[in-house]
Amino acid sequence: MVREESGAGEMVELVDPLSGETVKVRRPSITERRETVRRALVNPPALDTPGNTVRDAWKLMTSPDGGRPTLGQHAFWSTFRILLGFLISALVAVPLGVAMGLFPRLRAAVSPIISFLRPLPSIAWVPLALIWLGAGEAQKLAIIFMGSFSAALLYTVEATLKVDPNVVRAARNLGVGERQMLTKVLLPAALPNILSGLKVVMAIGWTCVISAEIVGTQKGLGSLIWNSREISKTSWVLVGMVSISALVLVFDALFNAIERRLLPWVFRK
Amino acid sequence: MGVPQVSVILEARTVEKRFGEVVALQGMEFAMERGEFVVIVGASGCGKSTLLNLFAGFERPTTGEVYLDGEPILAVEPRCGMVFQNYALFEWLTVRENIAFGPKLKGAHDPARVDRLIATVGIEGFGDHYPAQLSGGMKQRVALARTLANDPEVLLCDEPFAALDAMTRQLLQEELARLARDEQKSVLFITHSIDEALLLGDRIVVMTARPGRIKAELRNDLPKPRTADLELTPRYIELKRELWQSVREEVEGMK
Repeated sequence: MVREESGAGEMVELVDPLSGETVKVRRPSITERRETVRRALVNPPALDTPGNTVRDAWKLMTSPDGGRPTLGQHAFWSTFRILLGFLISALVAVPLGVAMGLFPRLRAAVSPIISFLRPLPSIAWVPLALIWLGAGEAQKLAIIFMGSFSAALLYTVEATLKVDPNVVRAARNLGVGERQMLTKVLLPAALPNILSGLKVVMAIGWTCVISAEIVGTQKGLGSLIWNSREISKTSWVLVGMVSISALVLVFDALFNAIERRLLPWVFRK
Repeated sequence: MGVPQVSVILEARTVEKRFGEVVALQGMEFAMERGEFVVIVGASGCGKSTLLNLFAGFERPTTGEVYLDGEPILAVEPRCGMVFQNYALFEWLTVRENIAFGPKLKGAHDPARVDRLIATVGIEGFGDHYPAQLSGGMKQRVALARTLANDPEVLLCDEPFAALDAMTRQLLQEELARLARDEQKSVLFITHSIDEALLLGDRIVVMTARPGRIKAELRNDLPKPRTADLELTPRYIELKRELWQSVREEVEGMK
């Protein structure tokens, strides 16, 4: 039996702690308060039941309504953007990084710029990318590029600097000239460390997926997560997150397989 | 007068080498004859590696000059083949490819000769292995074969056995001594081990602490071939004591 609290339903004056103004509010009854708590616990607005999540995930994979892309299409677009962005990043960073490893002056010139760019999160590039490139694919690639480039560059510089100077000396001693040194000795010697750096960079590329797809697209796991948030579809947010992690695992495994093929001298034991 | 000094293969004349403020070598006078096996002993940091780097042409003396066969060494000198303490093998090439590296550059690759070198250094059956698959001793055998493949006039050895375990080192010392004799190579060998110096050297040179120059020399008259048994003979102990006296002052001076 619920005993009604005295004074329920009457108007009381409270002081707003922020503004200092006095406001009049109706005091809720204990039943009303209980109902509020029950709703919050039993049917919290921010979480779906596991059953609902699985059902929503299945729907997303097969036929989401309203002509929305399927999970497969989201995954395809994100993969496409991230791999292409990563590839462009690597294609610029590896030659520049090797050159920086070899020439201290170039290293001294470029390093301050990289120190400035490196701490910027990928999302910081969204406004500039939008203004300069519009909301198309170029803008998305640019964000992934900027988000992964400095890491790719630093790993490559590091890998080049790590080449044993005695190996270079041995090569000179055996008759390798300045011109052949790069292809015959430095690149193969630095390759294992460059590749393991790029493997990390690829995962960094995936961390840019939400920044890249936050505007101007309905396709991609990043846009799936972001747009589902806006319609309070928690289940799809979770599906998007799990898909990203799963894809990174898949690409890590692929990258490992490529590494094994390219570097038999590291992996044959 | 008038007699040509054809027998001197390596020479350093009034050499000084500075790295910024650091004077690594000063007043360095050194000469070795063709076919000689010279061991330089010195405390770490005495500039003995610097001297090798000058002869290999990796570095240029600050003043003075170094000569190979009477000609000044002005650039990297492939006729002075270097063997490094850390092997410095090409990890991405197989043993066979490592050994063939020098000859291939010169367009003089001969697979049969590579096989002979593999046999000479005792690594038969490992030609298609990568360096990472080999033990330290075997890596150094590969490095030795790779240097020999270029047929250098002088073998420069920068503490090549220092990183090896005692038994492997003993074995490789004996094999290097045999190889130098069979192939009639001139060898300039650096070590901080007096036992190694006595086992290998025809002549043993003691260097001073930095700035390095030659402090003393000793002609090693121990009979060849020398094995570990020799270390128990009175003459060996006498030579060792003499060398140690000389080296000790320098080591203590470094402290």
